[in-house]
Amino acid sequence: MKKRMIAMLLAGGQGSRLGCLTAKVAKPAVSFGGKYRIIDFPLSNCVNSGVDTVGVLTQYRPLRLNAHIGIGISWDLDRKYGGVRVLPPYEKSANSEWYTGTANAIYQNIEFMDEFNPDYVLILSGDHIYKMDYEEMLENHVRRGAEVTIASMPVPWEEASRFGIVVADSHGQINAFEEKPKNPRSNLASMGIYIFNYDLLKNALIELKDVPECDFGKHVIPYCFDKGNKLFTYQFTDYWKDVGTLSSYWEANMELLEDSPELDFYEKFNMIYTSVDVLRPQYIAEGSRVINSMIAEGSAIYGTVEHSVIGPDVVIEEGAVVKDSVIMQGVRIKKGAVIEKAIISENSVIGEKAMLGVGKYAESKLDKRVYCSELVTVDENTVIPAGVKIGRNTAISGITETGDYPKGRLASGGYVIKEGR
Amino acid sequence: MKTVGVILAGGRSDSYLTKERAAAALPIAGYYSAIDFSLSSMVNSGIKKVAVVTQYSSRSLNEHLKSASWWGFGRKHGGLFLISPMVTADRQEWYHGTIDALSDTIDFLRESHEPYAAIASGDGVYTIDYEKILEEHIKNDAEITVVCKSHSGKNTGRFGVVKIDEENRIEKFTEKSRFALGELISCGIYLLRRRLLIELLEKAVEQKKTDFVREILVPEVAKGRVFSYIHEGYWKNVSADKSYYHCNMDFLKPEVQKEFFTGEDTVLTRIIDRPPAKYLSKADVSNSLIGSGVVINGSVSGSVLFGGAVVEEGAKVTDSILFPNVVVKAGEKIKNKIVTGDEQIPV
Repeated sequence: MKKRMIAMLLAGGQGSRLGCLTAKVAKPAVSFGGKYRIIDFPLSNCVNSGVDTVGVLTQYRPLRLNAHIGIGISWDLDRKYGGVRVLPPYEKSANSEWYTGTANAIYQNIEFMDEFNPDYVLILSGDHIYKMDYEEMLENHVRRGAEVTIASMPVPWEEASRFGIVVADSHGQINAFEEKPKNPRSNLASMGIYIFNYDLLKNALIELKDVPECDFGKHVIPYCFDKGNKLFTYQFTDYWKDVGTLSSYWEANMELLEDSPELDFYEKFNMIYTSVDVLRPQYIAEGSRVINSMIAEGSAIYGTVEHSVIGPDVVIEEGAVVKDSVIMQGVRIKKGAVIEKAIISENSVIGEKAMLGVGKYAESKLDKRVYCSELVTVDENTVIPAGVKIGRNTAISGITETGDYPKGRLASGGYVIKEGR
Repeated sequence: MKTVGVILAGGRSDSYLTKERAAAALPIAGYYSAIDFSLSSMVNSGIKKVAVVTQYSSRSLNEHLKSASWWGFGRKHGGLFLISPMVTADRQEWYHGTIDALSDTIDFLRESHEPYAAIASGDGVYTIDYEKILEEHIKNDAEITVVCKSHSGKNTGRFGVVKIDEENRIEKFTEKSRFALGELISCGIYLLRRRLLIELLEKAVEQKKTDFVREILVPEVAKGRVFSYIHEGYWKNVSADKSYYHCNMDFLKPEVQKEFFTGEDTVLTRIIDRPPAKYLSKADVSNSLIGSGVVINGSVSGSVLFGGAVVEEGAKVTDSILFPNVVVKAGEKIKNKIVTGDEQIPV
């Protein structure tokens, strides 16, 4: 069965900069925007762009991801031919290995791609929040006679040296590709979204198969460029956000709360789809207060919610206050607890009158690279006892007890990580 | 379970609300459709095979039931069977009554192998365990068991009134009479042997009878083998505008929420893809049930808002029901109304 274009979605990364949010789940499976998970964005974009065959490459902690994707019903990707297919690394008679790099992962799945004999292959990653029409990108690719098209978007010049930068002429043809250049010649950053002519991609992957940790940005794109293939860029100017760090993840959630946000969930077309459980209606009780917030189904609010994203099946009890926070599915916030600038993962319980996000910022004692904002990060299935006071830039994981908090406090920059549950 | 289910969802009433939709398709509590309750009760009791008979405005129901997997159907065995009237050599018209509608399930009943059949209407809001009904049915050695509910209201003209003896045997069944007095009413849920049902239906069709209650159930009562099963939990029929309104308002009460939301069995429904509800800077919401994708920038209290409804800045919604996708414009005031879109029905 021939498909014109299939998508390969790289969803195997841990996303270690999300700290305890990705301690137990792969980054694409992290919840976002109340009821979604990050992978819903590329998956929904595929369906909305008419791409009905998607290979999802998983490796790190795939359990939640597998459960979420299922057979793809939520995205209309349960198809007789094509649809969504989860592709974990597998054992071979010789040379069994993990996916060692983005391109290596695709290389190990040439068989899957061959099944559909595609003209074009779309390479996506599962860690960005955006809505994009891949069909339009493909039209551009075909019209310009490109062999490789790289989606790019303008970034502020001062940040350009953090990205893979494409330098293109006025027709969009790429004359140079620079990976994290010191003196960038352009501010067009690669978004990690590529369309390849399949025969060219297959040849390149086979040619480069022995390159260790073979990567698209570092190896495949430069290889194609050096060989003189026609590389074009497709400029994207709408909302696009990398949610790879705790603060960018939090910011992206907060941006949804504006009265007319750039990323609109409420338009009738190009909807974002997700897998949902049958729960119950949402209830906002007498005496509660809810403003500038998004709340998913099944949640019951008896307290105050301001400027926060609340997932499904959350209970916020009387007198509790939640401000500038992201609260995920199944969390219970007990009476009188006060939460400010926190990310609370699935099924955690915050005890009565506990206070999260008090005091001033302090440098993290756990990991300065990951925890470098004012946020309190709470792992899934965590319990925080009643009455404790927790500072900013902190991390809590596990069933914690009053004894874990000397004098009932966790100072800013501190952490309580209890293993072995 | 040893039972197949039949849900009669074809009914219309003279209410405004059912002008464009079947009573069984009416939205309930910001999340469900009326038929979800009868269907979920069957599914949660382990009934694996259910026929839904539709007629009036069946499109609204077909849309809701199009993917049976929400209720756990769509397996290779059992399943959800939609039965609508069709023109055949024997019938050129719509259903004449409940017997006519039920007779369309005879083939379905014949092809089943479960010994019992449960019949329910699609416009009741309740959760019930058919295992328990069956247990009592067997204990009583009943021919037919009728689920009944104590009723304190005055006007029972909409319901069948039941009189029972100390063994729960039904002595008298008076169908929809304004003059009937009594404290027990029929919930329109019946359990009997599948073969007996086929037999009763075939005979009734032969004799050109039309009404299941008047022409099958009441005569059976006279034979003394019809028993009642008293349902202690919540039950409301929503086919009249007032009871529909009150049923939705009941869901704002903690005890009703407790029964339906925190019980062992989830009431299952088809979920439409919608984003989370959004509260903007001028939102002021209290004691309300809010559906997915609702956007609120006004004041809402004591109300039920279904998916995709919008309350603009300065608008005020009090003690009202907003159907899916209803928009209350800036500054508009809605009080004690059911807003269906084109119409505002006062209650």
